[in-house]
Amino acid sequence: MSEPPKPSAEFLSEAQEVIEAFSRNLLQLDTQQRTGEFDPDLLNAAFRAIHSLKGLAGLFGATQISSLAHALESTLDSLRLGRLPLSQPALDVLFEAVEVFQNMLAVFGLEETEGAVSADPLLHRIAALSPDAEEEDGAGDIVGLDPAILGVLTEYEEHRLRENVRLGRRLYRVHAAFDLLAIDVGIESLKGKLKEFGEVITYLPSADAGSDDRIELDILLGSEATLAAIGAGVAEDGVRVYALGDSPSDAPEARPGPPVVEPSNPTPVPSVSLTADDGIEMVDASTSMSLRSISQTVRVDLERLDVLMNLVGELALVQANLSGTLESVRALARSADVSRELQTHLRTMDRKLSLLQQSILDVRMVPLGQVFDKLARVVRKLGREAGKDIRLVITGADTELDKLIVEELSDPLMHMIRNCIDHGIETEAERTSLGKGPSGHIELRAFQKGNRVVIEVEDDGRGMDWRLIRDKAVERGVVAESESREMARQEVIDLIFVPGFSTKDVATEVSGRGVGMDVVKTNIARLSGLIDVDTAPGRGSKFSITLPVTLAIIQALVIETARQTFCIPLNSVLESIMVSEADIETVEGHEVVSLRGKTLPILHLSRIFELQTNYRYLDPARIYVVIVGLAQHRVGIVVDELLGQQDVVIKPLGRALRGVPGIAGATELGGGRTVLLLDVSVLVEEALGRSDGGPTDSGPAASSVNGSEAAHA
Amino acid sequence: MAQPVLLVEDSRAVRSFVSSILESAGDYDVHEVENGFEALRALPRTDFALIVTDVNMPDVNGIELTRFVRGQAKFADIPVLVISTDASHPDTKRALEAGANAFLAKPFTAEQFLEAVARVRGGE
Amino acid sequence: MPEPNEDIWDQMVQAGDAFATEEDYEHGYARVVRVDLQQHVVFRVGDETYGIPIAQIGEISKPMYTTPVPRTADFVLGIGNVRGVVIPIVDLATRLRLGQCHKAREARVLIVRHGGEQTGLLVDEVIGVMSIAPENLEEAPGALAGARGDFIRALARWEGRIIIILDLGTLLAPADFLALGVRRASGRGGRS
Repeated sequence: MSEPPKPSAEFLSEAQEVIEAFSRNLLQLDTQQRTGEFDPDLLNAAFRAIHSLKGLAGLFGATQISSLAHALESTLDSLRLGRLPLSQPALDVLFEAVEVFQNMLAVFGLEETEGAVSADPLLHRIAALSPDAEEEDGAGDIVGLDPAILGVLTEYEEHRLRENVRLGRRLYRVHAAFDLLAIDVGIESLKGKLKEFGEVITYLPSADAGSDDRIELDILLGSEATLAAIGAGVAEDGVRVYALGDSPSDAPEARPGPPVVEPSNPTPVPSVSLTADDGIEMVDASTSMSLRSISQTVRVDLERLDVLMNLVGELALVQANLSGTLESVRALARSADVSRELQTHLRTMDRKLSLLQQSILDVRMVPLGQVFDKLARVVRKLGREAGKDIRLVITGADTELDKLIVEELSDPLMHMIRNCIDHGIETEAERTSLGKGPSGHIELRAFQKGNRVVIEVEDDGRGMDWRLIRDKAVERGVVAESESREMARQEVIDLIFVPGFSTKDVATEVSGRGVGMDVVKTNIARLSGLIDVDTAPGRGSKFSITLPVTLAIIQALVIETARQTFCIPLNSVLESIMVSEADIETVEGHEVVSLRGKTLPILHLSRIFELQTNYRYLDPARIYVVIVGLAQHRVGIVVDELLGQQDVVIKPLGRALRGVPGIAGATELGGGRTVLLLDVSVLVEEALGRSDGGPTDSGPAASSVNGSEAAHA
Repeated sequence: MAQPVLLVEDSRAVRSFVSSILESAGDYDVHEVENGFEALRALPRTDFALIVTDVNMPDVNGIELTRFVRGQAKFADIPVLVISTDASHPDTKRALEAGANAFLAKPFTAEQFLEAVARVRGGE
Repeated sequence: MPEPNEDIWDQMVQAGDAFATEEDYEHGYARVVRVDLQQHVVFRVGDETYGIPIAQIGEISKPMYTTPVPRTADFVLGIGNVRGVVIPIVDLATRLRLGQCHKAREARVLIVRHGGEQTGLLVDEVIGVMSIAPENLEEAPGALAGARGDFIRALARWEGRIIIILDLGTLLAPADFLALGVRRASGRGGRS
């Protein structure tokens, strides 16, 4: 390969998506495999995912991923073609592949990572799975099927066709015509009906000679139901069902188009007529749902959302200008009607702008299922490693939270699940002797409660004895014994979140919960969330995490002035301009600049916040002014540097500091740096002199002329 | 005038890769679709100069699509280039038998792809 | 994650008359344990020794980075980030009118809990943990006049020293946190 395209973000996101879809398929197959029967479509979907991944990785020069996908593809091909039985060990290998792929993706594109993730052990295990010899499909020629049909089927479709015959199902040809514009809707609905009767093997398109807008399709269906039953089930316009072997009335072989089945020897029909009930079993509701949800999900780069947000900001500026125009129109004589109308439109625009902004925030919401899938794999893997049979029950996977929160939740949840399996759930022998069922249960629940989302992790394991926790806490010096005596049961249990308590040896003795729980609590707190625990010895533990739905996430402009960093909520930023010192004039003791013919008061954070006594412009020729405000109330904030835009999580300052005027909260900017968020509405009010007599502006404002001159001199 | 090309491929990244090759190499107007049904829908609307299709797709696969195109008088002359992952896979052979003009195995470079396009279009 | 305050916990354990170690029990020996003793974290600010009941202290950490907050009282060093929660950090020396905390190597931040919220108190040095019997506690003598008197809950004697037990209620009164002018201004309403 001479010049593979750049490892674009597109590759990474699609590869990630494909691997997640693969993983979901595996989880469903795993569940179905335990009950004996599995949906061949799932296996095919898994095959296709890896097949796509192989092609994708090949194109983008991800050789390691591509060659692992290649090896896996053969295995999956054997599995779907029935040459290799779908067993737990085979699933183990496939699940392991998910992890390896993800590790490979994580390091892909980084330098000197060649070989950082080794696929060799996995490749050996894959090789060990391969069938000894390529066994021919059991059945010989399919009686009654035109070889020309076989010619357009993929190998897999041919295999399914033979498999249906082998299982004693009858083959049907379903002929349907669709309006081209609505083909996907029409097909989807017909497919749904047909799947209740059996397996849709393939679709053979043919054109309706009469029209460009219609298309005819022949659908091959394998089913145990009778012709009459299927016919009744799909009774709708333009759909006809033929049992292969029956001569279609419209003699399709006379037309160009798809070859159809010769009406020669009929396929043997099982003597016992089965009801359609068995067919319904083939339709796994969860399968079709998850497949649909994949196709309805669009991954959006958060940066693209930022672009949208910025556009909204610019629109707000346009709107502000329009408001200005409205004022001018009002001043004209006999314009009352026009200005009233303009005002109505402006109000509407204002509402729509807020809606637009809200919708963009909504796009950030993703289902928790993204994390839950990952946890399901962990449960399976750790359970097997620990030799414990663990059933994971997930509810509320479609509960949505901001993407940022969902991503940050992954580690703490993983940690809690690990604790459940390692320490919470007893061994099978132990459980049996206690009269519990041999398999442990972990429930992972998510639900919305008001404007918060609650996530619960509950197990039916050992639970924790609060007396033991108390004794250990005293022993560790976390609490004084005298104090511990006065503590309520719940207070004692909460000690597992205290850093000094959370050490491995203690945790294991107290039946193993709370290992690193202080870290979990910290991570949850970082998302403005809370964590609670309830436990009973012998019965299990339940951890509840309560999180805000949206996080107070906002987009902020990060600025620096007088060597201090601040964030300004982007939704109140109209634009940023650059002026020179000469552009700054003084009107009645207030500094102003002119912007498109309008005079705008400016304020210095360094002065109103008294950040620096001798503030000077970094460069008098390049002074940044961030224009903030809403509608016609506009003010320019002088800053030294514009450091960029960022999504930030707003944190409250606590009771003692929340009264500070002009400061709305704080946020973490990474690297443990805490930065203040400006309260623009208060600052604008102060600058416009509405808070007359207030010390925060009267003081500095009165001296601002002298102050600024002294500073600039 | 730009030559319309129908690109049928279920991978978004591969689609954008192929489109960018075509669009930077010449005056092509690439119509991207992600499955056979969408391809069927797009076919009658535009006079395509070329079809580039993946083989392994759900429902209407690349072989069936090729066979369909070859069976219709109004589409029969459109060159079909099949993208597959494996030259030796039976499905590749079947696509050629169904009437595809050429196949190209992934991974391929931009030159290889353009060469294949030139080959199938030259043989029109 | 290393525990910077491990040594402090060890001290607490060692200092505890209320503790009997497992070894003690193994040797069939049990100390006489008084249960009415109150544990206090004892620390130094300037030249004076202070104490706060251990139950009010969440943790003790090394001084962290603080972000100054404008329009606040002089004793508010700023805000710090403690395990994901933003909390105010108070320079105790300034608060107690003892000058400024020196931020030497021994300086520590006591994270105290009061009224459901956490606050960090910067102190010059944490001396240790002591148990105080009720008979050694002397309720705040009115003799100690001035603003500082309000912050004192009691005096205790320990190893020949006088220890001032602080009253977090008055020490951390929210109204005191804003700068003087701002306090008056915000009284007009608006945000509070």
